[in-house]
Amino acid sequence: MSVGMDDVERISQLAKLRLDAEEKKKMSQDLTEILEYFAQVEEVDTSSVSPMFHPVDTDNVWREDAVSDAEMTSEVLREAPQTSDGFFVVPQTVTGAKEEQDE
Amino acid sequence: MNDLKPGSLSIQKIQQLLRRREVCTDELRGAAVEDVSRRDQDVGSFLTVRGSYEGQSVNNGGTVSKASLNGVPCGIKDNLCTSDLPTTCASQMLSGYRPPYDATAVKLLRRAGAHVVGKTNMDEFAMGSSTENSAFAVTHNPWNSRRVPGGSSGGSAAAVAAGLVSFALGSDTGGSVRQPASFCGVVGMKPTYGSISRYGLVAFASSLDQIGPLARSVDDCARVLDVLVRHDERDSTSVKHPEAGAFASAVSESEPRLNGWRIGVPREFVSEGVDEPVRHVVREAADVFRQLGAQVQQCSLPLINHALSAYYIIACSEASSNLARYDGVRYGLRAESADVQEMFIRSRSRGFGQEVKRRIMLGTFALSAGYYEDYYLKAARLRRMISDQLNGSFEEYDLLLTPTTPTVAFRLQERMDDPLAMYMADVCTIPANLAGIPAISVPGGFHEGLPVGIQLMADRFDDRKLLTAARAFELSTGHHRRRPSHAEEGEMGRCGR
Amino acid sequence: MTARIPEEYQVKIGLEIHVALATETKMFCSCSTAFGDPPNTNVCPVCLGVPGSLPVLNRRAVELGMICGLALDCEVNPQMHFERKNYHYPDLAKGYQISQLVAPLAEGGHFTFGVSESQERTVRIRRVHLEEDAGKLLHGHRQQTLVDFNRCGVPLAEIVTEPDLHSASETRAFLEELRALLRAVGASEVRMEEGELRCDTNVNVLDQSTDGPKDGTEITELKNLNSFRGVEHALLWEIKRHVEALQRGDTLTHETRHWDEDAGVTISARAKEEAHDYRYFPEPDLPAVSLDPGWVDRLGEEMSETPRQRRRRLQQQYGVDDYTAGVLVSEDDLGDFFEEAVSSGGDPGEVANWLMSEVQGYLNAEEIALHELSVTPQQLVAMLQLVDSGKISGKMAKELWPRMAETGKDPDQLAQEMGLQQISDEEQLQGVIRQVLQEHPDAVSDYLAGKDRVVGFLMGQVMQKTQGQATPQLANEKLREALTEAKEGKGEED
Repeated sequence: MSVGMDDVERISQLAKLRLDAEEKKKMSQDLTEILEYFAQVEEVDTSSVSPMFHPVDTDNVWREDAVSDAEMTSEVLREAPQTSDGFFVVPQTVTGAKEEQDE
Repeated sequence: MNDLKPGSLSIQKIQQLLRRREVCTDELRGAAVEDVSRRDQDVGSFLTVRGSYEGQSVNNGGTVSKASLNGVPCGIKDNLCTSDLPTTCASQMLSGYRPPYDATAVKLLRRAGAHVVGKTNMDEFAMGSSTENSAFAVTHNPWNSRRVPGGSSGGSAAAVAAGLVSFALGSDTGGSVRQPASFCGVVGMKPTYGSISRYGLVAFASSLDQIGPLARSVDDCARVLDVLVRHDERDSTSVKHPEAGAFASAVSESEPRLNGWRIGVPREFVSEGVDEPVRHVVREAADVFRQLGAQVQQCSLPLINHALSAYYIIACSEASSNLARYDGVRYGLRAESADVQEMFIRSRSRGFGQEVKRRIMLGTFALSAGYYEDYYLKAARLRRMISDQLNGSFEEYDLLLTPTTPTVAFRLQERMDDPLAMYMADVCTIPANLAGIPAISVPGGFHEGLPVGIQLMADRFDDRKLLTAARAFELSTGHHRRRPSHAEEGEMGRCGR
Repeated sequence: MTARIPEEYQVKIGLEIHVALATETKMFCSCSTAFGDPPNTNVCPVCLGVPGSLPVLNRRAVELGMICGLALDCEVNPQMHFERKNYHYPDLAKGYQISQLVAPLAEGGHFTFGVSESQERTVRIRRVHLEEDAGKLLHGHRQQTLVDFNRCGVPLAEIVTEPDLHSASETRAFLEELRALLRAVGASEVRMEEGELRCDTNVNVLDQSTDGPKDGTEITELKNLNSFRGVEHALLWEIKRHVEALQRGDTLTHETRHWDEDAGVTISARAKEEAHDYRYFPEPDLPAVSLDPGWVDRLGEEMSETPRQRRRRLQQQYGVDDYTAGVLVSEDDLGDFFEEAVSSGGDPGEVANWLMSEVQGYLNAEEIALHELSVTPQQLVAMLQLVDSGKISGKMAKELWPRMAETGKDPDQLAQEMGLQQISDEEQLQGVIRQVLQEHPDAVSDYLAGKDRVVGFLMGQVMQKTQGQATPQLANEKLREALTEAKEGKGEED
């Protein structure tokens, strides 16, 4: 598996990262090297194995539907780069279309 | 007591001093902060030290005197949330960030009377094996200042090794507690996944992350675990550990024996990829266990050779998602732009360092359309196979004995340009994270003045077994008593040359 | 706007409906789901995605999700788990939304609803899954956007249908009945004005005249419609666009469009430079959830009657017609009021008529809900009995009702206070009639001369004298008796 410049570009867009030309080149090399190392797992037949997502099985874990009223608006707003009247403030959406908000 | 260095004392010793009223907790606190301020300049283990011990949240009244960690100075890795100290994950992204709450582990330590001296250096977002990926500071190995302390909990390991704190907390995703413990000649343990609440641990890879203690003895480790191992309703992956509260009692015997214990040494962990001096230490350790009464046999876990591959795909995939929240909206660094999406890109590109970006990229790739099956899902299937093989070995063996790291601490800068070589530093520690089993690194010997750790692994929830054996080992070898020469003198022998 | 659709064209519409579940707290934290609170007051480290925070599942959200699934005849999966859906947007606190992809809560159901009087249609339900809502963006000044995370983390059930709907009006009927269903079983309050039901629709048009593979247009996704009217109008517009495209041989491109309510048109969402790639993977912070069959069964048994079941029962039990039954189940409390009134002695037909005309008329005029009235079903029945017994007239009842609605007083007492009493006493009426005949001898003469139409005039006089309180039938009868007497008396005189 070789990770080309196009792949690096595509992935960096998904990851919201911008790499300059040199970084892209390095990233392409590094990712290729890492994935070539990964290629050795091809010899292992995993087809009949169920994937493992959690290392320890826990029983159904949940909470009851009761409000805890620990008001912490000021604490959470304190760390925000920009706020106004209790809102977080961000610049407008110019390039990304609304469709990305897909609940 | 002018030369009081509380951080160089064991928990038991501090309790003794307090009981005999030779010191009070205020003295301990003041001395600990002063000692760190004075001596840490050469080690570089702390990112933030509390300027004064005043204002430290002290537990109220009567419970304090009985609290098990009363007055004990500790360091907290800077990816554990503290409401009164910045929590930066050694990243520009969170420079100066102060969380609105204490991590559960921190809360439990404070409740037990522990004195949080400060926040320790680490690889950015716990991604690295040398602490060189910190955006803010270089941490030196107290045994040799030109060597790395290991990582990612390098600051915690170095602080403990240098005697600045009695113990420290780290987080272990692929060996980030055990590997620096090995490099710095201290004890580091990753308990069974879910034993210590992850609530308030800034996530790197959620299904692999586990908080663990670093200390100068197995005894101290066990005492800290007694405080930290508790079910937490805020962490859905937290477990009710059947041995909670019974760890210190597992290591209380003065001359423990391991008669009838079966210990396996998987040959894959002592292959050519591991330096001969390290293999030598493991052979010696095997002999020690035999002398303690255990049967030690070689065994084989062939799938282990694929653990590193599976690990990096899974860890990076989860990380790419866990680190998506750093977007400049609610906290952390924001790089301005008139467009919100451009603001995201600029903030993230500026806030994250190179290794973090590399892993986000790798993880994003492994989850992306067309690659998910071949990378992420394949890795998750491999994880199951590796985990099953490891678990299977515990039907035959009580413990597995391996090196903690393939080499001793390497030189600063040595591996910074070769990510794969850096990843290899975790090759022995990763399997325990994949399987969620407990593992501990204890000082096993020395090579050219540098400590070499041995690792023990046990079955899930057999943390107590692990501690018992590790304690027996340290008592019979005494390696853990050896300290870096300058640690007590407050000078770094080879620093700056 | 409705386009004529050639017969060989088939419209296919599928829906993805997001419904806010009726929980007190959010999906993964203990913050309140209350609507309309000051910005960022119902937030905590978890729903704000503060570093180190972790989600813990709300049991009630799972239960309400199961109720949704059961109400839609779905199979509840014995095991479900959550996935992360990764994308960046300023209203999404963690950079991902916790949702379900591979193992949703429930799958494979269907929902039968009425499209017109006595005509039903069934839509297959593909799946019901749980996910968390995002925050809310408001436009501030100076090219800024304000973000409020109060909604972020509110539990949603996403209901996905197969493309079994075939027109805009049918889709609207489906949604209206779905809303009634979800309210009836208590899964959601479905407060439209609070955005508790939002709908994405997928629509395309197939030409079935061609042999072999069907020609048709590519699917258009209409996102985030939050009113039934919006859905219907957007679909009408969009179907027309597709039909016209197909007629000129164009198959369109798969795209997302938005409904511009003001302009009454759909607008293409600007194509983004990057493709969607949500990189779903299992949420490592949340273990899988087993949905015990016993639990599922118990919920099924405890679940309230669905509107369709109730409609059937109302028809069978009370003999009301399908239309009436449909109206009565369209709102829960209307049906409840009806049944309570009938059980306290009301005639089903009369009660239903009153509810559908006078009661609803009043509610609409006053813009209030039935449960806000202080009138009880028993009081309505008492009023209808006053009419039946002739104590008041139907017209009087219509006068009495709004006052009852306002005051909550008993109809008897209120009728007295308002002086609404029919004079049904024969002697009293006869006296009034005698008086009228004496006062209008000319009219009596005209009558005697064979001019029958003066009866109407005299009747009017009687009603006026009694201030409208005479029982019309009785008054009419007595007047004719009096006039007949007068005729006979005159004959004798002759």
